[in-house]
Parts: sequence; C-alpha cells; structure tokens
Amino acid sequence: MRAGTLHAFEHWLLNYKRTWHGTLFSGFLLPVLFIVGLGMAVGGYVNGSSAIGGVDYVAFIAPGLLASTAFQISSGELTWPVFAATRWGSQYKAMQASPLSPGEILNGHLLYGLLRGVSSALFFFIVMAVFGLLQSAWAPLALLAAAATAASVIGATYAVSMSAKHESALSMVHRFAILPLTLFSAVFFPLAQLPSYIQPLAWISPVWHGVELSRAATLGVAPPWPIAAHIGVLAVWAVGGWYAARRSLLKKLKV
Amino acid sequence: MISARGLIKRYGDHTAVDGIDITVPKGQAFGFLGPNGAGKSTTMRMIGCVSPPTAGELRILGMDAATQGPAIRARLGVVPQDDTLDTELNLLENLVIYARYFGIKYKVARERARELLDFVQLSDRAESKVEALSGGMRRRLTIARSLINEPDLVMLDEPTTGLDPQARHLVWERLFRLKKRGVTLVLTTHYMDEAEQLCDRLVVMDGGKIAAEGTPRQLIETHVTREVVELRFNTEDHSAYAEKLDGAAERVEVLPDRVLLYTDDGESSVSEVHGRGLSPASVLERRATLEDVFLRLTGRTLVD
Amino acid sequence: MAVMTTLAVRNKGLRPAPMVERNYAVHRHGWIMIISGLLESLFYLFSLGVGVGALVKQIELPGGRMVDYAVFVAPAMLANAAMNAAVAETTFNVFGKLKWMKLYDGVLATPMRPRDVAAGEITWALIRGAIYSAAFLVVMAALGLTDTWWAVLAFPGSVLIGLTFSGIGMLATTYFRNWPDFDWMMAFIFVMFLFSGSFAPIENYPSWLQWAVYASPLYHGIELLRAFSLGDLSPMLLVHAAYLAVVGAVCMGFAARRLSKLLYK
Repeated sequence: MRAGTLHAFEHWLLNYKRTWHGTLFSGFLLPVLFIVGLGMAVGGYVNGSSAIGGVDYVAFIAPGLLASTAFQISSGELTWPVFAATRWGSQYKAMQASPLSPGEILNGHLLYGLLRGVSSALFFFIVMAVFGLLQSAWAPLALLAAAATAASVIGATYAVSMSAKHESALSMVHRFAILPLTLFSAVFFPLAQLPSYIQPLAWISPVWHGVELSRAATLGVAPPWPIAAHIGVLAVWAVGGWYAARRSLLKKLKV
Repeated sequence: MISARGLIKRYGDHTAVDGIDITVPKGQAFGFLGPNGAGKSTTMRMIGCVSPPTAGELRILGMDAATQGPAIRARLGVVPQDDTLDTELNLLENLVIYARYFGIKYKVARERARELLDFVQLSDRAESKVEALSGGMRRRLTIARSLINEPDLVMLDEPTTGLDPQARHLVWERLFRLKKRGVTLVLTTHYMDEAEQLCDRLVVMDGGKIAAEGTPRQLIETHVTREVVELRFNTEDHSAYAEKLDGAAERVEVLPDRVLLYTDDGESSVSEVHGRGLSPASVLERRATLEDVFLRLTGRTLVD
Repeated sequence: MAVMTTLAVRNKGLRPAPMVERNYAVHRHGWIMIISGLLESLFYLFSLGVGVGALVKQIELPGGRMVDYAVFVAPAMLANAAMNAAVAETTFNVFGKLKWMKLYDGVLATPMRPRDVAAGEITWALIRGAIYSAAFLVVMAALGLTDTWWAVLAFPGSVLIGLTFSGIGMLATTYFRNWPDFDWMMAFIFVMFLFSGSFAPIENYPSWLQWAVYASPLYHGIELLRAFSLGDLSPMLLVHAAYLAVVGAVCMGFAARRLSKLLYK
C-alpha cells in the first residue's frame, strides 16, 4: 500500500474523531438491540425449529447481523460523505491540491469505509462471544466473512454516490438497495422462506453470500453453496466495484 | 408611519439597542447608518415585528408592535439582510407562495407575481430555481417578494451589500421608483453613496444609540465643514505635521497616510499651507461627504 | 383595508394552510420520494412480517386466540410507518428549514405566526402519513392480513399516531443542535420499534420491561391498530387513544411555544 493512500485514510479518520459519538448507535448498539429485541420476541416461537437448522433464533440471526452490520456501516459511510466530498465539502479539492493521486484518494476513502464496517463487526463479534453465540471453532472466520461482505460493496456504493446527480439519489440508495439487501438476504429468515422465483435475486446479492459464510462459521455448518462459489461472487463484486469507483472518480475530477 | 420612544433591546447582558427615538412620516425614505454591531438590524427586526422590544413604545402604521404584530406585518414589505428565499421553489412559486402567507387569493397572487418579476427584470427566469441565481438577482427577487402584499412600508436591510455596480444601480433605480409611488422606505446601509442617493432623512447609529439625525445635507453641515482638503507628504510619519498645520483650517485630522483639513474654504486653506512653507506631495480639494460625517461620528477603529 | 379585516378575523384561529400549500408546491414533482417511503414500510412488512412469519407460523394472543404471525405483525408495521413518516417530516425536514434554509425567518415577516408554521408542518406530516397508511392498509387487505371491516378504523388510528409523533418530533426539533442529535433520536425511535410489542405480545416480556413499554406511545398505537385489524375491540382502546392524544397535544403546545422563542429573537 502506498503512503498516499494512508494519508487520505488518515484524513477521514481525523474527521471521524469529530463525529464518532453520532455513530455509536448505528455502528454498535443497533445490532445488539436487534438480537435482544427479536431474539426475545421471536425466539420463543422458533427456537430449535428445523427451518433454521435446529438452533436458537438468536444464534441464527446473530451471524447474519454480523455480516449485514459490516455491510450497512461500510456502505452507509460511502454515500453522503462521498457525495459531499466533491460538492459541499471541499475535502477532495484540498486533497487534489496535495501530491495525492486520484487512486490514493480513492483507496484511502475506501479503506476508511471498510474499516468502519469491520470495527463495528469486531465489536458485535465480541458481544456474540459474551452471549455465547459462537458455537464453533471456525467462528473467527465469521469476521473475515463480514469484512469480505463490506469489501464487496464499498466500490459499488462509492461509484453510485460519486456519480449521483442529486442528493435525493442517495436516499434512494438507502431505501432501494441498502435496506432491502439487509432485509432479504437471509439475515432474519432462511432464503427458503422466500417464494422460489425471488430466490435467484438473493443469489446475486453480495450480502446473502456474506451472511451464509458468516453463519457457516459461527454455527460450524456447511454453507448452502460451495465456499469457493460464495467467495467468488463476493470477489466479483469487490473487483468490479473498485473499477467502477475508479472510473466515477476520474470522471468527476476531470470536470 | 413609525414612531418609537425609548426603544430598548437587550440580549442577556448585551444591550443591542439602547433607548432610541425615531419618527418616520409617510412617504419618506429613511436611512439607518452605522458600523457593524451598531444595532441597525436589531432595530429593523423590531420594526418588522419579529423581535419583541425589551422596553419602550413602538407604534407602526398606528398600531402597537407588541400586540398587533400580524396585522402590522400584513402591511409591511421586508427585505432581510440574508435573503431567506425558498430554495426549494422556483422564482414564480417563491412569490406566489409568499403571497399565500399573506392570505392573498391564488389568482391575484399569480398576477402580482408576474408583474413583480417584470418589475425586477426577472421574468425570463420565472421557472428557474433560486440556487441558479446570482447575488444581484436574488436581491431583486427578495425586493419583488417584499412588494407582493402591496405594502405601505418597505424595510430594506442592506439592500445592495455584496452586489456589483450594475446590480446596485438597478436596485437603486427600482427603489427610486417605489419612492415616487409614495411608498415609505426604511433602509440600513453602510454605503454612503447609497444613503445620499436614496434617503430623505438619516440617523447615524453607534453602540445602540442615535449619534446624529437629519437630512444628508444637514448632517454634513452640522458635523463637518463644507469642504475637505487631503494632503499627502513625502514622509513615513504624518503625525509631525499636526503642529505645523495647526490653525490652517477649522479642524485638522492626521491619518497614517495623509492629513485632512476640514474647512469651509478649501482654496484659502491650501494657500495657507503653502504660506507656511510646506510642500505636500499631493493636494486634493473636495466637498465634504456623508462618509466624513460617518467617520467623524463613529470613529475610525474597526469594529469587528 | 379589506385585506386587513380578513386577516384580523383569521388571526384568531390557526392558519396551517399556507405552509401546507408551500410543501405541496415543493413535492408536487417529488412523488417518487413519497412512494419510496411507502415501499420502505412494505419491505419491513414482507421481511419481518411475512418472511419471519413463515418461520413462526401461528402465535397465541393473550386471549387464547391463534393468529398467523404476519397478521399479528402487520398492524405494528403500519403503526411504525405512521410514526416514521411523522417523525421524518417534523424532525429532518423542519430542522433543515429552520436552521439551514432559514425558511421560517422569511415566513414570519408575513402575518404568519410560529404557531401557524408549526400547525402547517404538522398538518403536512399528517397528510403524508395518511397517504402511506391508506396504501399500507390496502396492501394488508390484499394480502389477507386483515379480514374485518373494523380495520377501516385503523386509518384514523394511524392518523392519530401521526399526530402524536408529529408533536413529539416538532418538540424534539426545537432542542436539536446538529446531526449527531438526530442519530440519538433515531436510536430512541428504533428502541421503541423493537420493544413496543411489535413482534410478540408484551405479556411475554419480563414485568419490569412491561412497565417501561406502557410509557411508549408507539405501544399504545400498536395496540390500537392491532385491535382494529384483528376486529378485537375493547374499552381499553379508549385509554390507548387518550394517551396518544394527550402526549401529542402536550408536545405540540410546548413545541409552538419554543418555536416562538427560537424565531422571535
């Protein structure tokens, strides 16, 4: 990694030092509340059900929340801040005036987005351990799965936010991409509960693959697809996203 | 139209307006001059009935500002310092919706909005968003907005600050037309040329108090002399000339870069200077302006 | 003079209409945003109601009656949608107009008073929420998630929820300083969503938590709508409705007063 990338990353980290308290809830408390609230309410009815592999409902949703939290935080971090960086804010202008190359500006920002998601996941992972929800020796791999989920979406989110014409497009990203991806990627119920004609939609969702890998790790079961296939889809998203992000940034900086 | 007696506005310990008396008769263009923080905008907000006075009596259009705010505001037009335009609406909608706040019927509102866009020469931008407008255009739109209720009294807080010369002259010309129609104008400014152009009567405010009051001519006659001579010498330090020039004019003011002689007869003062054997590098004789009055009364130190 | 007399007469009551008209003019072309707001609540319904419902199948109500889980959760999602619409409009949008756009500074130079502004914004929030709620109810009926005509009453019920949360939102906005404050508000809203009996009868909760839930206006809203959509009426509904009305009215009163203080500097 080049030093420039780290400089750009540092900029966003310093920025975060000023706003961190506003992210405590969404980044750390929210997933915990989800397992307490849903686990207590729904758990009573479905604990041990064969549809979720005979485990407790909390043990079923927790690894899903681990991956989806990393996804939500990382992608959320790369919507408004990316849009703003070349518009209202002048962060990118200042960076451009320094010796940073566009690639370094991009990678620094993506790295920051990734680490925000991973740090939330790490915190939640510890909470899972405390609640006794890590039921397999493979469990630490769930953190990798969460990181891979975040890595698979940062480029795509960045590209969309960078090329958005109007601010309202970002609310659309939240409502029509981030939210449904969270709600329908087998975090709260297995994919088999969805009508069979909708299931292929989930197959292209990077979040679904991340969730299944994460769940396989904490429960110590085999994921629905071969592991390499899950990883392959995530990798395609990550690499494709990065190129799209790069293109969108170069286009923007030239204007 | 406006009568204020002992008007006071305090924010905590800070007294923004400290007991002022004003009377503005119908049809007059009345100006507030003063440095930043003198209390002009606060006074304007009190007259606009959006800032209740801490003490004193304030009557506007024959009504009590403290109790009849909405009825007074119905007959006022206000051009605030920051435009407060509705950035989510286009120009025409800005005017029509503003008319609706006054309870003006939709049909009438549309007609007036069209006329007013014409009046401020923005008809061709009727469908544009406010964000696409230049500073001067925004100002004109705000002036148009302030006229939507056909007000008896229009209040303008620094109507031309930040505008380029073309835009300023256009705004002045439109305001002049309003004045001719018999609309009473109250404005604040720190441009002396604006005050001289537009105002029939002025008050100079400083530190929340009224420092002087009168027509532009009266103010010049009362507070400074008819003419001013500006002398520059080839020196780093003009202060040495204070003594040498003493008595050469009614008043001598030494600035870091020049010396000002306040006099009723510029030529005789100049010959007096030469008679004392002094040879300035440059000599400028001019008529005294409001700016001289302003600086005389409010001092030369920066306020902010 | 004619203008003056009409105004003098009108000034006795509230004038919410101009503010509503203004918001309508802004959103006339932005219906996609409103539709997307509806879709958001439907996503929740399909995921946490229908999807999770397929796992849970049926649950037993405190009275002993068995219902499909989705039927149980759907009215809670409706209540949540009504709450979110009201809160989003009276916090994010009003705060933006108040602090950034300085819109109200311009409005108040007219005969409009702070309470007219507050009433207008709340009315607009209610209209927007009512559109969501009506559409949501139609979807519920179409999916067979309610099978009684009493469910029609869930519409005024959700407007009442909107009223309560518009008042709460307005009041909160007068205290907000900057964006991190909104995150904490969203946290509060979300905690209510999770713990107000949306996903299970609160009789299943530990008793200390039950008492906390009784304070939550959303809980009373959910109970109200659920009773209507299950056709399960009881005198307790008056208590729920009264609680919502009182909380809403008190918050609105304070909000109007605080808004006056903020704007009449």
